[in-house]
Amino acid sequence: MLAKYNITLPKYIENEGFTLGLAEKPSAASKIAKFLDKNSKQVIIKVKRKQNGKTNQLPEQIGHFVNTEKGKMFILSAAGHLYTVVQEGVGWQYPVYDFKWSPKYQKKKKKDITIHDMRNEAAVEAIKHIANMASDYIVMTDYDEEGEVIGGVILSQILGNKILDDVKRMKFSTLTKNEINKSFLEAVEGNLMNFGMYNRGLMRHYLDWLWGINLSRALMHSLKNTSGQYLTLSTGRVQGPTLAFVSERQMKIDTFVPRPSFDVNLTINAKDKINLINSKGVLEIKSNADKIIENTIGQVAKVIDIITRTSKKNPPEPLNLSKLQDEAHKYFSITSSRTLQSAQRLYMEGVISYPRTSSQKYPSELDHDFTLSEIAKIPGYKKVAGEVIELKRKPIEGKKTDPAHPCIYPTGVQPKKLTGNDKKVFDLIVRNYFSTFGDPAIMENNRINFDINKEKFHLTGRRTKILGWKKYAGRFTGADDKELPKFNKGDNFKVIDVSLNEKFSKGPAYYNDNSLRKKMEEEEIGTKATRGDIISSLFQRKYLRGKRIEITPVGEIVFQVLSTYSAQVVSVELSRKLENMGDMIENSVNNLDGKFSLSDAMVQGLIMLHGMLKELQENERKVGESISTELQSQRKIAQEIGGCLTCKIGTLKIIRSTLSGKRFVGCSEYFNDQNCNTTYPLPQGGMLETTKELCKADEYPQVKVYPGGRRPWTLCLNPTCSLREEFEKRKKKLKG
Amino acid sequence: MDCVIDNCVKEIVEKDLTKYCKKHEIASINLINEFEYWLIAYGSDYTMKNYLERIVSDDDINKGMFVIEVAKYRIEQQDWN
Repeated sequence: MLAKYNITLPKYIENEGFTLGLAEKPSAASKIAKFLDKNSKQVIIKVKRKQNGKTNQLPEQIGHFVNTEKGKMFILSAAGHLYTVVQEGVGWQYPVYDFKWSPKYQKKKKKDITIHDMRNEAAVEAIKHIANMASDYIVMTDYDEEGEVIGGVILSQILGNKILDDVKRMKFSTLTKNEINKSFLEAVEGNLMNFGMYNRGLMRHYLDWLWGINLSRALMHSLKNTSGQYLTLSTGRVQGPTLAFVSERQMKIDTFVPRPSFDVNLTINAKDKINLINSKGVLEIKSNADKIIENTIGQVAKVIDIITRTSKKNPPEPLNLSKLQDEAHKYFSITSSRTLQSAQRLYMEGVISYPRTSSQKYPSELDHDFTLSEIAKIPGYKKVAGEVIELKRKPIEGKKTDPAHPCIYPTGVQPKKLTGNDKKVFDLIVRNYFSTFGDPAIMENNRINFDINKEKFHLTGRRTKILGWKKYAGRFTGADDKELPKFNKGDNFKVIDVSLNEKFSKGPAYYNDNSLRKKMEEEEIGTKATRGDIISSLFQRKYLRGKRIEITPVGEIVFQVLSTYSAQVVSVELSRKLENMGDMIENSVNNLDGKFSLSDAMVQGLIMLHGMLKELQENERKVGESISTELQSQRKIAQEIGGCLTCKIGTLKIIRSTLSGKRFVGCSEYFNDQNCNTTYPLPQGGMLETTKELCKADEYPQVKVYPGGRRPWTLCLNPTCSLREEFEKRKKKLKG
Repeated sequence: MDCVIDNCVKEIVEKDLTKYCKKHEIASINLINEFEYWLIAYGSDYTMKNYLERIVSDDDINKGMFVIEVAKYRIEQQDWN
């Protein structure tokens, strides 16, 4: 314990019997309290914190004491996970198989304790104090795997495992009055926890912890035992394969050779100048393109036919998290983790349903007329919502389902003033909801074919003939229309320009946050809720960098040694196997599919882990040497910038002054009887990377600077470089 | 033994078969394989020298970092096979 706590409650609470409700976050607790009792009374539990002889009133734990239809209730809040899996005992040896749940703050060193940890500690102490006085318990965290684990672990750690058999569960997908009241009554009447989800969640926490701690320690021990160096290295069940995706993509990019192809640019003189498309498409042989140019230059383009076809464009399916993240990236370039953060805030405000869902189905009991009429009260949606109500129709649904939650939809609750990403994400959700009620849009696809001295060219366009759902979709209608000029069969136009367009294949693209998450989803690793965090943790570990995601040298070393000495760690199959075991546990508990318990999963998981650790232990020396050699060569590469331009003998290196601690570029010949004392200044913030490319303006060496959180930039070492002056001027102008 | 490419400190992947490290070896193989498509595209008069020089010097073409390094090395070595 960080400090001693003295918890006092108002007398009227201590004397009464009550049910304890446990919400996931303070804002959810306060919303639920408000819905269950209009006259809810916020109770401030005074928590006195005594540490080092000092007594602080901080922090205070806020709870809500409410009179519900079914009796008195004390609603307390966690702050996400209050407990975490930790090693039983001390030391950093491996393998380590003994673990326990422990309050999160206890894991931290004293110097790292933050106000957030103090609040967590106070929350645990307050729940401990109050839980013992309660007669019943209701878990009211988000209804998903994590929510089940948050509630289940807190109560079982404080009151013992047995209590979980009697703990009631509120299951809701929106923080709205109706749904909260309904789920509360169902809980009181006997709705229990979902042990399938709970056990699946426990398995994930246990095995992820065992995987992470043992494999990471195996890497660090190998390095320490072979070279004496210490470096924080880590890998994990989903981290490993994700790193593999980026490394494999990087390899393809770095070794990519483009392939040439040819196109003919041809312009005719109609009312405006119009570019036609060669109907033979892109050509692989240059001489074929040359021949077309020869045949068409100075000729007349004759319209030989005009073809019009109509097609249907169905309304979009209801949004699940993955689709929401795709659309937010497509229309607003919002990253998947920021979209989730916005959606989570909107959910906490009660304006949308629970966002961590795979479902494309609306809840069967959802009253669409009511929801639409409530949305109509939100400024900006009145007219469209009215038109959708007029349709008197049921919305379409997609095929995907989720056992815990329906799709993402607006609840009709008026949001408070929305700004930034929250506003954009909300609009996307509302517009998608409207669109699902609409008819298919009817598209008219047009093609005009031309003959130019026996060479075929054409123009294509598309036009929305009947708007259908697009009428309600706002800006979220997909590709824009492309209208064609009004030509008639037999029209002739002079060819005014023909030229060869030499093209080269572009090669694979770098992953970005969204495409990497999509890849993880395709490969079925991680969950919709954890994928974004795993990508973030690879960035924190400095294995990945940049918006166009690149693997760093350290990330590459880790991937290389793991794929060489224990390929399973970075394989998708193993991670997928574990997800399947989770499904088996859930189905088994829910009596759907055979018998497979948490213990069975743990045994199988440990057998897999043991195999991987054995491989790494047997190759400890090789693993350590590989990492150490790579680190040394990377350090060398990272320091050397190029040949000295003054003495022409030494090498320019990044040097850190032992006196001032500042970094600069200096010549290696300085260390040889001070033969050369050339130096160049460097920016003191951000990560530096040497680049072999010389400055285009003065051919001086350059370094790439990665300032945290901003776009990387390239710096020419020459302080009087013309490009650098230009850059400074632009910067000043922008600031001005 | 280190890879023959300037500033590459990685070990040669298989001493008897190549002079490159793993990544440069893959880049080298890709360069050789793709040359066939360039020959088809530009005709049989197109030479390995034209090809490598274009790969190195044309900034408008998107190509891998390791490919440029191998192409530069081959130009230096006048390796036109």
